[in-house]
Amino acid sequence: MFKHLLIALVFLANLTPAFAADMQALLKAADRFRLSADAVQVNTRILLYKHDKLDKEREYAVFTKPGRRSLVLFRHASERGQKMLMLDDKFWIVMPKSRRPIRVTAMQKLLGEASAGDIATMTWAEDYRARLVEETTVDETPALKLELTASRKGVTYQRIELWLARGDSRPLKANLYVSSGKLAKRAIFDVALRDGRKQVVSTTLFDAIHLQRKTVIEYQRITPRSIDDKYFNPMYLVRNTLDDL
Amino acid sequence: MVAGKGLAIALAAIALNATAQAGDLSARLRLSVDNGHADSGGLYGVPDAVLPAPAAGSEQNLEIDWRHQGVNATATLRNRAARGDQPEQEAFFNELYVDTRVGGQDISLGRKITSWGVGFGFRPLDVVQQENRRALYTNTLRGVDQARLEWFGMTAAVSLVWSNPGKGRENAPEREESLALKVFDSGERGDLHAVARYSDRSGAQLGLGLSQVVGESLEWHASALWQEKFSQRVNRLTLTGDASSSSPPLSAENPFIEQPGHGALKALAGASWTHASGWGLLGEVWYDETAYTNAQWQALNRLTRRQRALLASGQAPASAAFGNIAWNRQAFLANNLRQWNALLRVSRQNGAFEPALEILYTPEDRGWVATASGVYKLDRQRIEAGLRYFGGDSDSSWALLPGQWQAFISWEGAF
Repeated sequence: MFKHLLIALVFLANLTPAFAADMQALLKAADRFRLSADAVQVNTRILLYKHDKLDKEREYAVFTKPGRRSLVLFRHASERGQKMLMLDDKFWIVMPKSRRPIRVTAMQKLLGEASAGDIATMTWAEDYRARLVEETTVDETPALKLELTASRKGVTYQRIELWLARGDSRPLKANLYVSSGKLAKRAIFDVALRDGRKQVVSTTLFDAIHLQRKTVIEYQRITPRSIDDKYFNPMYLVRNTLDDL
Repeated sequence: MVAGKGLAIALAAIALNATAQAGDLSARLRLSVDNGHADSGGLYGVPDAVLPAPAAGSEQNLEIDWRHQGVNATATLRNRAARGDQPEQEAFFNELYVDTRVGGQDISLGRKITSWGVGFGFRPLDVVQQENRRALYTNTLRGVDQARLEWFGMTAAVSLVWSNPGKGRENAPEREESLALKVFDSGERGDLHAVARYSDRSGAQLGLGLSQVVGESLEWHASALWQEKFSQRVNRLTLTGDASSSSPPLSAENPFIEQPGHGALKALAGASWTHASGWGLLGEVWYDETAYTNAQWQALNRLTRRQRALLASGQAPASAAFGNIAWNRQAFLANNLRQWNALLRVSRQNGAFEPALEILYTPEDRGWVATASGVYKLDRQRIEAGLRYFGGDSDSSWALLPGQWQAFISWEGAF
């Protein structure tokens, strides 16, 4: 009886503006474990596993700025010269052979061995509205389960179930759903002390469609850095001064 | 050959410099074998003694990239061996340029790949690079020598390109001197591309293109270019020596001449759709007024039939008739064989293997080209294969192409 009452209260509380603001504050707090500043450079290593065996490695440099702007430079030898730009809900890709920015859809952004959306999108508060579902535990850690619904077009995942530690709002795990409603991936966040503060140092993504696939995204270095606005112009992608960033 | 040696030395210097100093050095090695069917019995078929059929061949490409502080060098060392021929070596820079700022202005100087516009099978706005989009496989493009000024705003960009400075009117359109302007804006309604170019061969060219994303999965694009002048390579015997002529329809020298034309339109419209599974569909229709008309193809086919008839009647030496027929095959070198084209492409991009199947259809003569291809990606390697088959109504240009199929398989390693 008491449990039902609590759930009902939580549900009602979700409807109030003050509670919604609290939920967004929770998301912002969780985001800070992934991005320490508004404008950063993140050097990322991706490990792609198939049947639990390392299949491929990839390296990326990701630059983000406020206003949902992300630039991904592909640094691995087999992809060198490839670039991806995300501006709000618009996406462009440059392939090394053609040196031409091509407009792509949100769905195309999802494809490929390592989804560019997984690499370049590192915040939730700007893109999602959160709703508290329940208080629970994850591996004996007291946690809050939130349901995130996309508040903008072009996000990689339309809906996310996110579990945050109740004490400090660090992300613990997530279920990621595409627009068809299908569960696409399950994520587990690894938080560790780095540069004197707790940060997400890696995310492990288990593919829920291709069950044999697993992707580990290692955030090797996260540096506050604000690059010039013109680097986020699609036509600037073909200038190679980008590669010296 | 001397240039090749010079380039090899330059490449070695680049490699040493890159090793010794900061810089980003990478290389790709690509080994491929290709083969194609040669039809010596069709309308445009000739014996090997007159024009050797393309033999099965193999190619080794070593591509080296070096980048440092805005300087970019991409060079290719190539060895090609075809059955029965001596191997040929080639060395060249695909790109050699510097991107820098002078007086607060972004500039580029040197040879740079400059692909403009929207479209997959054809790009009307690609006025500087003029890439052939119908090749079965393309290596990294060879850039265009240029001096470029650029301005970048938040969503807009303007580029002014002086290409091939000092070269004037060259045989290859992409190698001729020109001045080109491109304006780009990525507004809420989509990407807008506007180009203007002036060259001696094409006169003024003006074009507009748009690419827009609708929803999560659909993108559509369209572009059109009008040009003041154009030139076609035509057989002069089709202009004067048609069926009514009493003189033998033969020429003692290459009868193909450049015929000027005035006012031509190139236009394309297409859309692509991608499903969450990775399957994608692309459809495009395009029109190229600089390609041969139906009447021009019919005239060339008639001429070739008359030349072939001379063989049967013994009115002309076989070498003369076959030589002329071999010259007529130059008509098949155009990027678009027909003015109207439709392309449908199905592909899958999800996982290590990416297959694709496409059909190019020319409704004017009901000809078609079917291509099946696939790429298998390993960590630092990729294996690629493709098979292209030509067909259609018996009088269609693609069915008359002297060869029914082409195929290749390649391995590429990145370092």
